[in-house]
Amino acid sequence: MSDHHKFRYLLPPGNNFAFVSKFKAWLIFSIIMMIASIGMLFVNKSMRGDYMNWTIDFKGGSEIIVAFKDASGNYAQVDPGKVRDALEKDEAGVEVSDMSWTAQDKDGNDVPVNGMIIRTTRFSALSPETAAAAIADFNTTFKDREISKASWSGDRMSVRSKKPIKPEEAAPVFKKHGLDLKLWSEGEAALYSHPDEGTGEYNLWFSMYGLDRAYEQKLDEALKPVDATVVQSYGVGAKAGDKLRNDAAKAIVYAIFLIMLYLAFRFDIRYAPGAAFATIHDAVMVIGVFAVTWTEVSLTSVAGLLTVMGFSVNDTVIVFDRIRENLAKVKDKKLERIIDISINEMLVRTILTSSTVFATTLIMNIFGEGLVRNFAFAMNVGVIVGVYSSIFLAVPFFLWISKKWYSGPAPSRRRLGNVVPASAAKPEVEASASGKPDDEE
Amino acid sequence: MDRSLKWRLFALFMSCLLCAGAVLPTFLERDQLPSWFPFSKKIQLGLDLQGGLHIVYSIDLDKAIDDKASEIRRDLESRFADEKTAATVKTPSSPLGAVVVTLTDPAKREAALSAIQADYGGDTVSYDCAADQPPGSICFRVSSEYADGIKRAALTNAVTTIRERINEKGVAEPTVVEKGDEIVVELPGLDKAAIQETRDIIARTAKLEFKVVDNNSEYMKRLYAHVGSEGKEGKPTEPRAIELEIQAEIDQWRPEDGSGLQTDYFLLAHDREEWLTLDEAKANNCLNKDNKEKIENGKVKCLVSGRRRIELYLFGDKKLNIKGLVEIDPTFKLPDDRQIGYEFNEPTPEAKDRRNFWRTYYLDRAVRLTGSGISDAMGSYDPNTNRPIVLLDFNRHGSRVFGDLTAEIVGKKLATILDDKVKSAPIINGAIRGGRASITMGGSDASRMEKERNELVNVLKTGSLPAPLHEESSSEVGPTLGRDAIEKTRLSFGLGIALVIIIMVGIYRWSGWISVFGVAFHISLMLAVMAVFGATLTLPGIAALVLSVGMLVDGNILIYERIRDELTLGKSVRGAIDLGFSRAFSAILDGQLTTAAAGWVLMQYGSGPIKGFAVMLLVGVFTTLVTNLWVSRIFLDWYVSRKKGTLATISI
Repeated sequence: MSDHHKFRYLLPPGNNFAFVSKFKAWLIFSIIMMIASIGMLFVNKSMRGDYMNWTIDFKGGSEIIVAFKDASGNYAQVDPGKVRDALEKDEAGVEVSDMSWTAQDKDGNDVPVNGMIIRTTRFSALSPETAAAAIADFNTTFKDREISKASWSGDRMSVRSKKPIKPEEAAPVFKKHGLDLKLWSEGEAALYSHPDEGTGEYNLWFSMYGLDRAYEQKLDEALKPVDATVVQSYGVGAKAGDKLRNDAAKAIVYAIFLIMLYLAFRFDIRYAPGAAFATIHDAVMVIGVFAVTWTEVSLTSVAGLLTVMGFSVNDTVIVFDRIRENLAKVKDKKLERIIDISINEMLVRTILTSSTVFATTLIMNIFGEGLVRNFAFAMNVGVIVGVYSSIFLAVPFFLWISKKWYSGPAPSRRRLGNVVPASAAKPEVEASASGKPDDEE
Repeated sequence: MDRSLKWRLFALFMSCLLCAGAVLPTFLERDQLPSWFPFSKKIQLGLDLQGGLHIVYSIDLDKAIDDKASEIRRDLESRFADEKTAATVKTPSSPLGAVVVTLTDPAKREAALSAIQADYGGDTVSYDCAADQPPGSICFRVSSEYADGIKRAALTNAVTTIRERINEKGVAEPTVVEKGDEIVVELPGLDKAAIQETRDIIARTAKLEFKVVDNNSEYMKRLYAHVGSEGKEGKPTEPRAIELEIQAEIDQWRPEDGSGLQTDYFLLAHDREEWLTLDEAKANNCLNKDNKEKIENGKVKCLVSGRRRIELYLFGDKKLNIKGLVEIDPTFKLPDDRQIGYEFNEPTPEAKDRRNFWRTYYLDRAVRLTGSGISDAMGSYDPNTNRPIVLLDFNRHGSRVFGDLTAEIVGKKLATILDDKVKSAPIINGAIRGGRASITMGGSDASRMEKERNELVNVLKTGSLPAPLHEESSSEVGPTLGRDAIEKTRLSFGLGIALVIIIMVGIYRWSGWISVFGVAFHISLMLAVMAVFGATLTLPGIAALVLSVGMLVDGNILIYERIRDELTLGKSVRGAIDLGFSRAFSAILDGQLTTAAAGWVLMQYGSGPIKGFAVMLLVGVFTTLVTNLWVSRIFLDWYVSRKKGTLATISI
């Protein structure tokens, strides 16, 4: 050994931690954590109403377009960050982005408007209880109008009746429930004044001041003296339809199978299940952390999940590679010992890589905003579980399968790289000693 | 420095230049680059990073209900025909979705009523017939609840179709969502030409129909005589036809089966420019921003299509108070079961008149087969003329109907009608039972025909829209992420990269800088590959980029740790570098190939953001391998070769 190399070591060389002896405990711990993660989804379903905190991407919601005017009545541009901060006080995960269009000013000239589009998962400002109570009250009050249908759609109520109902009559009913009815415009009034030709029924819409007004008030307060006006507010469907979800699930399952196939071909069939299990574990854990912390799940979070899985597979394969190499090189040690040696050899690299990625994504988490932060959070969790699962899940799985179905260290295969011929080694019973493996060169 | 290293350094330098060149158009305007510059494609930024165009479409859902009523009418007509009951079935335009059945024999009314009740009772309601309907008619309409269901289904169907069309077009990660009874489409980027192409595809109804051309008809023969063709060069003699520049033409052929001569009379009119009053221009859909300023004497110059003039000639225009031939001379009223179809043509190379023209077909109104009979469409070339064509594969039902139809009309013409325009009307020489048909593209510009062909394949593949779409409004949207968030993200990226530099240089000193250069090279190579393909970069794509940078740094660490191991064991510097690379090789290769396998599957089966992620990941696998195994090696070799004599150690 020559000591004239002055390396900056992360860990003093010659680290020799015992990993294998604690495998069983870690495996049990992991399985408990996975069950807890899945269980958390159902806890959420019963406590919070849904498995995860889906964003508008997955479950739809409302889009509200807002224009801003300064004190002198001209269109103004504001910082989307301020708008987001003002709205996020009450609900997390509101998406705010710029939107520009042309409108006519007081003199009838076309002027560009730099407004905002706000996306939220809320469909209406009404609570379900208020909505139900209002409908019940409405039905009893206007029994004589022969209502055949009355239902809410966001902040709007759709009514079908044999006889007309005037908004002036309806307003006090809504008022009782704290709802403020918007009176009809002339166009609407004309449209609703005569029955449908075929059925002879009236199709009426009653709109409440709801989300739009709530948002307007919040923004006015936060952006003083700028005045916010809701130009349009409407419900939208989910961006990610069933097709996308099914495609994603299918793609992930196929990808895991292909990874297993690749490992079976390039390494050995014993390596494949461990890598697959570790990858699934990481995905489940990230989902679990998202469920526990009730973090918003958007399409970007899906990208984050894929990144975590990619990182985890890469990490596992590299640890496996070292085990494969040492299996071929070291012939007189027990499998457990070889695994311990391999992990120890890789420890510096594992810590260095994962801490680099972790630190980078942590910065994104701290300084980022909105969706980027969401992605970074998934990565923070993912790096930790990814490194953990490579060492404490993928490797024990491999060890367990080897012990159960193979007796002793089986031949390792290498097809590329520095070729060490595969040699079947006799299993030897030897109490593991110390030190690094003896190099054959 | 040995030769091979010199060459490798030179190759590396050239690749850096190429990368820079490929990325350059993304950051500069097109006119800032010299014309000889080999790269022109840009990296497009997705909706989340750059924003794009927000278009609101309204969908004519009443049409879907109308279609349902028509379906009931066809059903009833064939049932009455089977039962030999004399009856007429009509679908009046008001109220919506109404069907009116009038029986010639009042005694059969009760039986018909109960049959209708039994078959359509769940979906329809009866109503009191309006006064102008014949007494004893049965009036019923699609019920409100059922109509709601139809509307719902039509809307969902339209959203799916639009999504598929945009995906087929290759636009990366657009947004298509329902908004009440409307559809909101967001297209990334603001490249006007590309957005216009996509808009054209979205709004195409793509209604494909096959109808039989009724040649030898008495009606067209009379019309031909009325317009006249005895003028100079076959010009018309009728004053209105002269004014509107409409010609009467004749097409004759002898079918291959030896049956009698077939004659097809038709009208033809060329597109021409006219000065129109503002009202006329509005009716022609030609008043727009571009010619609004060019109004002279209250008139605008417009290109009036031949079709429009033939329609004016025959049917007039109620709004403009122009009477058509059918009103001037009631004997020219079109029979109920016939209609006029129009075909657009470009002049043949020999034609003297270089203007485009339209011709008519006298069609049997009955739709014999629709686009629902098609199972697939693909682009190809006509083996004889080499023109682009669309091949249509029929499904089982379509194939049978098409075979029977062509057997029935041997010697006649069959018109293929797409979105209300006759695309082609070939003479049928015998029954076609192969389950395949083709549409030939017309025109003289090869690249435009090809583009049109590809568009057609796209819309036919994804099926027709359930109802026509109208663009309600469009506005520009900023990045979904938010302008402020992008600023902050940039900052965090910068900090992240600084952190990587600190860690790598702090631990591996001089060799750490090689990694830093490697990361820079890797990122620019990835961007260059994306730019060459004109790909779209979105947030999921950046996620993949972060992942591949992580794996790149991981690869570097693996190599360096190996070299350190070898040096500690007392190897020479050169030997340690050689061994370090060869030992780390299998780990890096296997890690990257597993990633590539996963990425490939995600690209094949995933859609939207998942696909965006996968594409970027695959690019990253390629650049990671290049950077780790080739670029890092060049620098380490270079470092060693600069020092003369044997090196005792290196800064690693």
